[in-house]
Amino acid sequence: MKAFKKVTFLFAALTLSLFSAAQSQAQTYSNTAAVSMTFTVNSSLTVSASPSDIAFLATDSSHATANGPIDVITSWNFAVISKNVFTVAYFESPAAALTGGTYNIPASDVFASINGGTATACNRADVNVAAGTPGAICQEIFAGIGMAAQGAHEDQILLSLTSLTPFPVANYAGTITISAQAT
Amino acid sequence: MKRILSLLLLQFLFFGLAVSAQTVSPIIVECGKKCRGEFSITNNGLTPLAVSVEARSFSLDILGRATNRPLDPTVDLRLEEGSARISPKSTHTFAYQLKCGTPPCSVALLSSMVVGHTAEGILVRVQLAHTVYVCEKQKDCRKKVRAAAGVTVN
Repeated sequence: MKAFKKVTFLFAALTLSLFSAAQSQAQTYSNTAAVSMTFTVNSSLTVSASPSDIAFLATDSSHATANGPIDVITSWNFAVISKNVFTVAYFESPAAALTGGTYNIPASDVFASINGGTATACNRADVNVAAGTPGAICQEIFAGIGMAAQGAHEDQILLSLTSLTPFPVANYAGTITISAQAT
Repeated sequence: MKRILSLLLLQFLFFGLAVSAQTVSPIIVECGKKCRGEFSITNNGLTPLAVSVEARSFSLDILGRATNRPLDPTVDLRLEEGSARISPKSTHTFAYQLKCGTPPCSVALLSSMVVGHTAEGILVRVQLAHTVYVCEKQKDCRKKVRAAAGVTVN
């Protein structure tokens, strides 16, 4: 009798465990929830210029070289619509790229060497990508035509000053604009 | 005293090394005759940035380079803000309305930014263009303007 009770108990336990397994399987069913996701990436153009200011070291009374180059990185993420980007440098005024109060250093006395190339005067009028004043523009830094949709380009500009006559004594200061435009 | 001198030396060394990095987005938009749009300038740097916006009309050479000029009198541009101060790692959005009297009109909204100041030497200013093409109809406006200018590349 005892043995029969034991067998019955075991059978009942086994049956219950089967049901419970079926029940736990049923719990895996649930309603599906849809989560919509949106992600918009706009086209963008980034320019970094380092350092933010430079000083000139005089080599003689009518020559000076910048204490280091300006590193310019132009980077972009284009939409399909555009694949061109141009980066230039210019001064506000052809007559006074740097001013020392009474005395000025004209843009024609400021020379720019791009990536170690020949230094040419920043008095060009034919490179006018941005708001540059004709006559105060340096040679083009970067012309990216038919570029890949995403990319970056690094350039170095080394500025120097050359005058036919000695620079008058003054503290000269000016601003160079690094300008980028995609068309 | 030594510590103060060291800090001053570090500040002196790194002040001029500040990287001036800014982003404009979107780069180009095409519009119908009446245009309402906006663009964002992001200050990627670690110092606050003063931004000023100016507008120029432009024409293109055959390689697609823009030659800028003062804004054409037929262009009526209303910028909600002409300048702003952007905190480090922040973005500012400039909204505008543009009407083009005699389409097509090609306009560059140039955002200029300077980090720091200098009493001697040269300060580096970064300028980024948000380019707007306005035609009678928005579709393929840039393509039409470029074709009219004889631009031979995309």
